[in-house]
Amino acid sequence: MRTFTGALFALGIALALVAVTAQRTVIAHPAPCDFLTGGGFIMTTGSGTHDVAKGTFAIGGGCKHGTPTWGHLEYHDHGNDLNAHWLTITAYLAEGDGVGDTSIDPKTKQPTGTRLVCGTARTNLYGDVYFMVRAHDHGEPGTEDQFDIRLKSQETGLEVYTTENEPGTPHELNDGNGGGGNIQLHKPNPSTDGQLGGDCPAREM
Amino acid sequence: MQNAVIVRWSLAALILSIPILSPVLTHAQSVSGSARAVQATVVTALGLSTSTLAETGTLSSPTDARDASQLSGSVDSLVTAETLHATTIGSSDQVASEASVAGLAVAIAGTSVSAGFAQARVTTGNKGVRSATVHDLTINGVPIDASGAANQTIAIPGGSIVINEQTGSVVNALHIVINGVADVVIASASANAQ
Repeated sequence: MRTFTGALFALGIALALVAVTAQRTVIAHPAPCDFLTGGGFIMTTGSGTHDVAKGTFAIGGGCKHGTPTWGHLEYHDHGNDLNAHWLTITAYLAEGDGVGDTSIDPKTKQPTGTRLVCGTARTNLYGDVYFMVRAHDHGEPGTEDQFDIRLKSQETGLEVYTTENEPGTPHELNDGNGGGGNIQLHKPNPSTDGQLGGDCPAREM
Repeated sequence: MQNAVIVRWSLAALILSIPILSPVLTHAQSVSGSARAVQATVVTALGLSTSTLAETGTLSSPTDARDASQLSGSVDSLVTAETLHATTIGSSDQVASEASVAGLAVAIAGTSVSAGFAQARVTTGNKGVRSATVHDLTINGVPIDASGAANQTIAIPGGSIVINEQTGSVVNALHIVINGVADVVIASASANAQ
């Protein structure tokens, strides 16, 4: 009886401690890093470098196991036949002051907001580049979601391509009327106890 | 008497732990998810041959997040596409999967299908999303209006095309079947959390 009561007492204390620890863990990481995914197309002139043409894209960014290096980028500008294929993801950031514009879509209860995904990529026109993608999830149905991209030469440090300096920027995905597709911000998963951050050379002007 | 006190306190500790622990316990859900940009199965002299492009594989746990992408890809002379991508992301209470392709061209047994963009998305949960988007779809050069309705089916010679195919926890943006020849799925996303 004494053994049983001792074991029961120890179990109760252990569970109470686990519960308290779990509560503290939640408090210790109030704003873990999330994920952003999307695919689609914009209509762009490459900031006046060619006639209006499709720029098709696929983008992913976020933190996995605490580091903001999850994701990818694929981009094809049909106006100048520029291809960009990601090599590394080096940063995942909120726009602006770092706090960003994160909110909640009342329709889906999913987060909305703007993120910057940065990294390195290989292109067929400019060699290896630093890239920065600005992607905005405005909620469903996605017609006001936004995508823009900037490339900076790794060799010269100069900006070699952007969709940001032309009328209609930031580019909305407009459901086929000047763009299409969807950007989706996803809440963090239990592996993402890290914070938004990383290096983004393409962001520096 | 002393034992009775200890038992009472132990039971009290256990009871008090339950509501605090319940969020932790309920988060231990079973999740599954996967996505792929292209899957093409063709009938050959040796049997069925299946090829995939930009496939995430299967989500291993709620802490997993998987992705795959390609600048361009093709399956023999059957399928070509660009900016292919697929993602599946787990979390404590939901799974979100998506896949998309642009510049799609499919040619099977004399039937051609093209689309400027195709995307499938599934997010589990009460406010979950199950949708597919297809822009600039043509079949043998004829523009087709993708209504957005689930399982929009169009007959083609020897088979069918289903737009926004939804079966169980899977959404396929396009599913092209030519009976006895080929089965091609474009932008497929699957997500399940229990």
